[in-house]
Amino acid sequence: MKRTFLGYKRPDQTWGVRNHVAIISTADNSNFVARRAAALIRGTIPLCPCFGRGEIGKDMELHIRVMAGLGSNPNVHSVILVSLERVIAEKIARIIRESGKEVKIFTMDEDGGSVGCTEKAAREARRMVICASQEHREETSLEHLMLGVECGGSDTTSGIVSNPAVGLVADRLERDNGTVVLSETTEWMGAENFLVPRCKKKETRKKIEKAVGWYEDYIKSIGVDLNGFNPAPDNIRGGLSTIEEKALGSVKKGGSGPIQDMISCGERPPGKGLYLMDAPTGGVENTTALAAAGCQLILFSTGKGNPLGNPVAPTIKVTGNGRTAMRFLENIDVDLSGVLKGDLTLSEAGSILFSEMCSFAEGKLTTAEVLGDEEIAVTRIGFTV
Amino acid sequence: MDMILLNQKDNVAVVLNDILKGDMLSECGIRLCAQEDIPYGHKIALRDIPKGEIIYKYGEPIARAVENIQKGQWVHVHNIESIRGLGR
Repeated sequence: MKRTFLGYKRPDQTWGVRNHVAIISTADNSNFVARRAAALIRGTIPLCPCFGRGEIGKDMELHIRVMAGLGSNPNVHSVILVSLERVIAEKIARIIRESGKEVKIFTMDEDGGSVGCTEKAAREARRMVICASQEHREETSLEHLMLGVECGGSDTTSGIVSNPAVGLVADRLERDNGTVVLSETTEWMGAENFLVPRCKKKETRKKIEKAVGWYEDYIKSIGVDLNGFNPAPDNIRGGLSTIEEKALGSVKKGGSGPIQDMISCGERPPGKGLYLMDAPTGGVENTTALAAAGCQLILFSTGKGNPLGNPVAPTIKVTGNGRTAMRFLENIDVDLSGVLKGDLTLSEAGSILFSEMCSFAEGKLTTAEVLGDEEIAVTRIGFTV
Repeated sequence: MDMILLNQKDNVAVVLNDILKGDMLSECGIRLCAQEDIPYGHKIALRDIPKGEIIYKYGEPIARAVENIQKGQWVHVHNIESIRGLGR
């Protein structure tokens, strides 16, 4: 049984499954610089957020935590920050540098506007990519793997096949002393009986109630039914009628292991095992939060089909729906539709998925990586000022 | 397999084909006749469910019936609604 993988050792004792040079735009107003510099230099990834300028309080904290979290992810070798001005870049850089990674800042303010900033960022990126290329994969224990679990475009098969299969992988990785992060708070609503009894600490139970309660109160405060939004129209077409039904399928991807604690959106889990993360259900927002928390890989279960990947953490698309495996042929990495056809047991599906996950960890490219179907977004709570 | 029963407590099952009105389905000793067309992956009532009764799937409550539902009928957003997450 596989207990190790080949990864890139980082200065903070974490292990990457990729070796990216990240060109991070600190806010929406410098995205074009990051995209242009990344287009000039192969081996770089541009990370471009929505918003970031004029955010206040918890939104600004969240923005900095998530952007710095992406830069600190073990899959990142080194970082270039491009920014309109220096102050926000320094705040993000300070956190990323704690991971021991090299970080360079270029600003339009000091480096000659958007053209000068692009040129300097590209020159530096060229050097960093060559430097990164001299790193080699080494064998290490699976305990150094942190897996994010996500579902998007869910349908009835998600809760019966793909999420339970992801859950089996989560359980197995936890037995190997790895880490798993389960998020999408709204999709715990109605499924608390599968989560609360597994919490190791009483405080965690209260955190779950409070987090789910926040969303319920918010829905009431604006007087809008969740239905039609979550479950979304594609979920409803796929047979899911209510948030409770969707949630009961959704939490299965967290397996059955004990829950260590609940962490904030984009926060790094403080230990090993299964952690809940209070993050929203939108696929782009949630996979961004998972990568910011330090997940090197994301298992993304889909029923109706959803091509999305995260640019930092390879996102493995899994379906248990045979029709989706055909309709979204180029967007699915692992087809587990044999389970409902009676060709495969769920336990066999879990083993196949675990083995595939290890291959992707060691460098096999996901379809979202090859196609570039990748996006990030930082969650926002309030308004800009 | 035409349908799947996820928990013995459930009053609905999930159909695994596009079902046509009049199709006979069986699972775990339950036999029933589809009262209407039901799309792949959607739910079918395993017994008569009166208005107001709780719908169970995975052995857990997922909704409340907003009208009387007959055994063999399609169970979805037109005849059940959430218990949680309503904006009222």
